[in-house]
Amino acid sequence: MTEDAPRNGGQLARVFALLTAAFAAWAAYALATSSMPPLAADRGRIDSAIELNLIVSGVVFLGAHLALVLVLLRRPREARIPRENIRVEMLWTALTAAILVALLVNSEIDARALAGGDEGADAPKPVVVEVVAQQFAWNFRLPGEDGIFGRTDPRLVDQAELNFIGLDKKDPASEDDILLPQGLLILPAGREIKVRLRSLDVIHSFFVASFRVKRDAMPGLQGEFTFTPTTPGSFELACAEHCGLGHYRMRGLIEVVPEAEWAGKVKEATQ
Amino acid sequence: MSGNASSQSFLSRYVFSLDHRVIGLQYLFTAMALALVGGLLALIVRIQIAWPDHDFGLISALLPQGFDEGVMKPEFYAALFTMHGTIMIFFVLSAALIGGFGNYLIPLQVGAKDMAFPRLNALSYWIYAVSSVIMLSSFVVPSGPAASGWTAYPPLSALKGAIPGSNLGQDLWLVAMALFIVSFTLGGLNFLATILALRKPELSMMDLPLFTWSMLFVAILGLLAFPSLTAASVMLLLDRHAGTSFFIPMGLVLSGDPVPGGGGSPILWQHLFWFLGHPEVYILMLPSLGITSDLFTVFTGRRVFGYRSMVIAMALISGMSFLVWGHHMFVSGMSPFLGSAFAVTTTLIAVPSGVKVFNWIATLWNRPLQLTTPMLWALGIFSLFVTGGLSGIWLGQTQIDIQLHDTAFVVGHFHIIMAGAALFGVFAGLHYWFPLFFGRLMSERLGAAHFLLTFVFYYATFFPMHLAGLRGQVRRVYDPYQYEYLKPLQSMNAFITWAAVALALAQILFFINFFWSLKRGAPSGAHPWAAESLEWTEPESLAEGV
Repeated sequence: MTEDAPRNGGQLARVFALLTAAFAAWAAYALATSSMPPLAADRGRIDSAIELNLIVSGVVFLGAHLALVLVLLRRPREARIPRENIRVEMLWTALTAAILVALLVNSEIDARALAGGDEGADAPKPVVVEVVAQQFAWNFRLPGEDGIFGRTDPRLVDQAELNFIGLDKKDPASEDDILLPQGLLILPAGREIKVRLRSLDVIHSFFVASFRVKRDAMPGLQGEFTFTPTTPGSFELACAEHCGLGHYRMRGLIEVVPEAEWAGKVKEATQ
Repeated sequence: MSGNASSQSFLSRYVFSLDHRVIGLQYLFTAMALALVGGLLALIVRIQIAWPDHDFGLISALLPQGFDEGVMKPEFYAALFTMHGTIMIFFVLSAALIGGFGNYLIPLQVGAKDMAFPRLNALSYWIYAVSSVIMLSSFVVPSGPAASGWTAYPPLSALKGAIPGSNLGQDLWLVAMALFIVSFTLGGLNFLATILALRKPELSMMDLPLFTWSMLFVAILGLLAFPSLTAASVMLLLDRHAGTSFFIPMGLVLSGDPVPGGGGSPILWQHLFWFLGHPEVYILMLPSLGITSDLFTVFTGRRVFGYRSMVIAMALISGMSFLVWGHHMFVSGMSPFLGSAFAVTTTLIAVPSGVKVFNWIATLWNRPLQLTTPMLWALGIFSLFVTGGLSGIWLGQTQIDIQLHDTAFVVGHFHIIMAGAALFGVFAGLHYWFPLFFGRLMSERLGAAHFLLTFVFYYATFFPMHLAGLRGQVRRVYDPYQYEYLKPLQSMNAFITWAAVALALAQILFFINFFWSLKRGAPSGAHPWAAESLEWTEPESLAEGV
C-alpha cells in the first residue's frame, strides 16, 4: 500500500501545490486590496495597526505557503535527514518572539493613545453624551446647559409616555436635559465626544465602523470612552453584541454636523 | 433461546461494552451523526445571511415552529447559530477527537490492555450520549432551543422574556452542558491515569507519540478548566429558577417592566465561561497538532524535527491557554491594564505555536513525502494553523480588536484555526486509523478528491469572512442588509454561502468512502503504514473486526 502512495512531485502533489499557491495568492491579493469603511474619526491608529499587521502576517503567510508548495514539488534525490539543531530552534523562537513583542509594544502605545484622557488643561471640554441601549433601540441624552444629567430611575421607565430611560422629571437637573429621538444622535465635527454608555436590559455593543469605535453596553455598569468625529456626514451605529431577536435591526444613525450648526440641528431634531 | 443469547452478546459487546475500542467507536459514530445536524444548521444560517427574505420551502415544512410562511423567524435564526456552535464545538469535535481517538488509541499507544477505569469510561460515553439527546430535544420544545449564542451571555440567557429561546430551551442547554462536562471530566481522569500509571515500564514519556502527549495535556486542561462552566451553569440555573442574582445586576428594565432581583454582574459569567472557553479551543487544537506531527513522522520516514521542543511547545500552549481568556472581553469595558496583560499572554502564545510551524517545515524539508490521504489532511492542518494563527495575532492586539471584535472577521478566524484544524484532524485520524479500527483501507482516490475539494471550499467559505469583517459586518445578524453600509456585501455573502454548499456536498464523498470501505475496502493487513508507534506494532492491539 505505502509503496503505491503518490509521493511529492507526483500528479497529486502538483494539483495540491497548485491549489495552495492559488489560494495563497488570492488570499494575499484579497486582503491587500480589502477596504474598511472610510475613516471618519480621529482613530487612524487602528487602520495603521491593521496595515502593519497585514504586512507582517502577509510575509509569514506567503512564506509558510511557499514552503508548503516547495515541499510538495521538490523531488529530493537522497533523503537527507537534518540533525536536531538546538541553535536553529533557538534562533527562530527568538525571531518569532521579537516580532511579536514589537507588535505588542505598538499595540500598547496605540491603546494608551486611543483611551484618550489628559489632553492638556486648555483643550476644550469634551461633549458628553449619555447612550442608553435597550432591546432594540438606542437612547441618546445630552446634559443641556447645566452640564449635569438629571436623575434616572428604572422604576420610572414608561414606554407609553416615551420615557424610555426613566428620567426623573422632578429633578431640577433634568429640566434642561436634551432627549434626542430614539436612534438618532447628532454630534459636532471636530469636538471630542465622551460617551457614557449603559444598558437597560441585556448586553449590547456600540459599534460605529466608520469611527473605529466599539464598546459593550454592560447592564449594571456605566462605560465611558471618547472619540472625535472628524468628517461631517451620516454614519450608522450597529449593535455588535447578540441581544435578542431584534438584534439585527438595532440600528442607529449618527449625524455629524459642523460645530456651528450643531445646536440648531439638535433643537430641530427634538421639536 | 439462542437468538436471545446472541442479542445479549451483541448488546454487551457493541452497546454496553467496557472495551475502550468499542467506546471510542461509539464516540466517533455519535459525533459523526451529530456533525450532520450541526452542518445542516450552519447551511440554513448561511442561506439566511445571504438571502434574508428567502422562502425556505421544504426546510420550513420540516421545522414549522421556526418559520412564518416559509420565511425564517429571527428568534429561530438565533437558535440555529446557538445550536450549531454548541453542537460542533462540544458534541462533535471534542467528542470525536478526544472521546473517539483518545479512547481508542491511548491504551494502545501506551501499551496498556485497556483504560485504567473501564466502567468509568463506559459511563462517560453514556453521559455524553444522554447530554446529546437532551441538547437535541430542545428542538421540539414549543419555545425553541436556546438562542443566546454558544457563549450564553446573561442577562439574555438569564431572563425568560429576553428571547424565546431563554425559556425551557436554555434550561435544557445548561443541563446538557453540565452533563457533557461531567462526562468530559470522567474521561479526562481516565486518560491521565492511563497515560501516567498504565504505560509500559520500558516506554518512557519521551517515546510517546505526540498524539498521546496531546491527550495528556487535553485531559489536564479539561480537568482544570471545565469545572468553571459547571459551576457557572448551576449558578445560571439558580438565577433562572431560584431567585438568585449571580449574573443579574440591579435596576434592569426588560420591555418596560422592572426585573426583580439584582446585585450580580453579567461580566462574572464572561470570566467563568471563557475560563473554560479558551482552554476549550486548545483542547480542540492540540489533538490535531499531535496527529499532524505523528503523521509527518510516519510519512516522511523520520522522527518529527525537534520532538522535545514539540512537547515543550504543547506544554507551554496548554499552560498559557489558562491565561488568555480575557481577550474575548477587550471591549467589555475591562480595565485597560487588565486588557494589556491579556494582550501580552495572547500574543506570546504564538511563540510556541511558531516553533511548531518551523519544526514542521524542517521535518518536511528535503524529504520524499508519501502523499497518502492522512498526510494530505495533515498538510492541510499545517496551512490552516498558519492562516488562522496569524489572524489570531491580529485579534490579540487590543486596538485592532476594537474594530474587529464580534464581526465576521472573528467568525472566519476561529472557523479556520479552531474548527478547521480540528475537523481536518478528525479526517486525518479517520483515514489513518481506519485500518486499525476496521482492518480495511479507505479509498485513496476518493480520499484525495475529498481532501482537495474540502481544502478549496473550506478556504472559499471562511477566508472571505475576514474581508466582510474588515468592512464592518457584525456577526449573528439575521439580516445584515438592514444596515446601508453592509448592503454592498450581499454578493460576497452569497459567494460564501455557495462555497459552504459546495463544502457540504464535498462531504458526501467522505461518507461514501467511509461506508463503502467499511464493507468493501481493501484488506489492510496488520501494518498498512510504515508506522512504528505501538498501536500498529503490538500484535494484541490489532483490530479483531470490532
